[in-house]
Amino acid sequence: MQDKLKILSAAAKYDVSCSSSGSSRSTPKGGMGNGEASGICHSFTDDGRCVSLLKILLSNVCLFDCAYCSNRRSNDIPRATFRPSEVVNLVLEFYRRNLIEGLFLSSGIFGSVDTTMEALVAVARTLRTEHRFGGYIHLKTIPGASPELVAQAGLYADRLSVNIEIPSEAGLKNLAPEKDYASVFTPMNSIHQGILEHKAESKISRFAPRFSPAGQSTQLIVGASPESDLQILSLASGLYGKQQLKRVYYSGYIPVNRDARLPTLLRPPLRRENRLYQADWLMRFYKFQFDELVDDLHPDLDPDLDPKAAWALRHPERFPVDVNRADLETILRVPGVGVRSAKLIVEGRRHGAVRMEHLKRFGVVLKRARPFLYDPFAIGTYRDFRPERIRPLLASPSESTQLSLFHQPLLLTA
Amino acid sequence: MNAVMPEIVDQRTPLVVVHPGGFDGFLTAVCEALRLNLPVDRIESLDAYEPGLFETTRSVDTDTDLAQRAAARILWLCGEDILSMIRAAFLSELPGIQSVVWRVLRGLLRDGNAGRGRNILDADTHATLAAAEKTRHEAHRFRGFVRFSKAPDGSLFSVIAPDHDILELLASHFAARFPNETWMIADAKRGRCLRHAKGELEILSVDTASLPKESKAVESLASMTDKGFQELWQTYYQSINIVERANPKLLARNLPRKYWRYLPERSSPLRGH
Repeated sequence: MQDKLKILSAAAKYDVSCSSSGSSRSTPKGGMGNGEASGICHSFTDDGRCVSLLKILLSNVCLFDCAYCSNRRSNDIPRATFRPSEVVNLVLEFYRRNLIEGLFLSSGIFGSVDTTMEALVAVARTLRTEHRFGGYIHLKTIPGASPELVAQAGLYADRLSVNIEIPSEAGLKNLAPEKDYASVFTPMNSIHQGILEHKAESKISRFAPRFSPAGQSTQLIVGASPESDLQILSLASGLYGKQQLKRVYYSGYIPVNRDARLPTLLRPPLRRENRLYQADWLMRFYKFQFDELVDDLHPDLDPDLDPKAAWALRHPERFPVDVNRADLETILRVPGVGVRSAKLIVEGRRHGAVRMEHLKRFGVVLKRARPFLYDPFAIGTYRDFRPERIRPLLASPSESTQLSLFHQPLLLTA
Repeated sequence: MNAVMPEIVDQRTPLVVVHPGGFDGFLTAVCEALRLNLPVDRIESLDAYEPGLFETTRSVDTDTDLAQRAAARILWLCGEDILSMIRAAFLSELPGIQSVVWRVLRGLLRDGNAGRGRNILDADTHATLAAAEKTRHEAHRFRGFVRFSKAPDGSLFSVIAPDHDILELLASHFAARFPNETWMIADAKRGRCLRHAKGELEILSVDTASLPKESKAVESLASMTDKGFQELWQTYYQSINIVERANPKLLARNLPRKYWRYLPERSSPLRGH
């Protein structure tokens, strides 16, 4: 059991999604477990990411041969398969000790796409119906799975996800010959359809069954193929708009295989991944459109600046902002101001003028925000706005300049 | 001659009202301070109170009935959210927080200024909000970090020693989650214990000495009958780690070291910590 768990959890670790939020399921009668809408982290790994679910593969035997995946057919690695009862038992015992919020179950493709999907659904069904388990279940939908199985999965799972992995169809075809965009988008669209239909039903009857109440998510691998940030963010923005995804995850490519089709990287593009997440946050919580952050002139995000600061410096006509007069949306766009502090500012100014000392208390990062703010009563804020002076204050040294330190002798001789 | 003035209080020195502890005790002290109608500087719990020089101290006993009426009045004046904020701020046990909350309550109850509870530009109100958020944040963290061990009789047991007094904030969460289990969460720092059996919740006081000490809590719990799943969990934790992504700064922010002792996967000798 120890070995199986080791193999099948290591095989699942490159799937970055581990959230348990968005679903408030109540504990079934006579059962155990519920869903906490805010999500709960039970531990954190060395990279600082939340461990919330038991994230495992049912099996790492796989018929497919995707270049970026460590479980591909042509890799010579130890293979293992869980019996469904083993997974069920592990989930219940871990849950009872408060180690996890629930299960994230995915799998390599054994037998056929539909046999695999059916096995995943069976585990969720056993947990929900036999053991009356109310905790969180995230099921991975296998690309190409039949709509009937997806419809069943949605009734037991809190969240479903289909991974796009490569942000362009040509790239996906090249790296994963057995997959295409149709096999990814068909289940994604049918999940979206299912969510909409069940929502409509729940308006008529409160006893209507719920379908994937925490929505669906997907993952894009960054840096394994040549797409620009513009392509990635426009794809993500479409997914949020059209398929109404809850989350798009970005996974900086980590070379697990030697393959001529893949780039050789010194280290995973973590900073790029971080900038993409920042941009994603701006789209979801700060009302930014993707084309405000990247466009044909700037197809990639600036690695040295966070995307909000980069946008602000390109738009001097919008600054400086007076927090006592501006509306919430304008305040949200000031670098160093978060959603929480913006709301506190708007709440606070109902009682009087908001001054610099209040901003600090509200959690505004003044070091970043001050150049973008104007307060006629504060010392050190200015009515004129000069991006070229502000940029050096905000930029963080990039990976490339850090690297070039080692090459300095070369530069000197040149 | 002093028939109209029931007590003589020296108004030139700072005045402190001391109560036996607990939220009801605090509210009793607040009522007493309002009744005195004098500039009370501080309100303190008896166990945390260190008398200063030149202070006049006034002790009160907890009057549950009076405290409940005060709570009802706060509820009526400002609403559920402000009452629960005040309660959570009190539970933070931060030094001096009771005096801060007292100043907010003085504005609310004496001056009838209900808006003061929401005026976050006011330093005291904001400090109350910040303290409440600290308490709630820690309670949220412990919803994840409480680790149950299964005793031979099947009941679940956990020991924590949180910075803030969060036991009552954990109660409803775990009661909803494990309605059919018998479980206990002990607060080793405060000698209290939250116990759930047959759908009944109670908070008991326990002898701190009988509990495993904080640092040893993990080991002694693991030595109970429950080792198998501890080891499976540690295996899981180690195998999901991606070495290339290590980010100690983010880890320290999300999981401060003070919480490691509750988590066998981070405090085990296997990891060399």
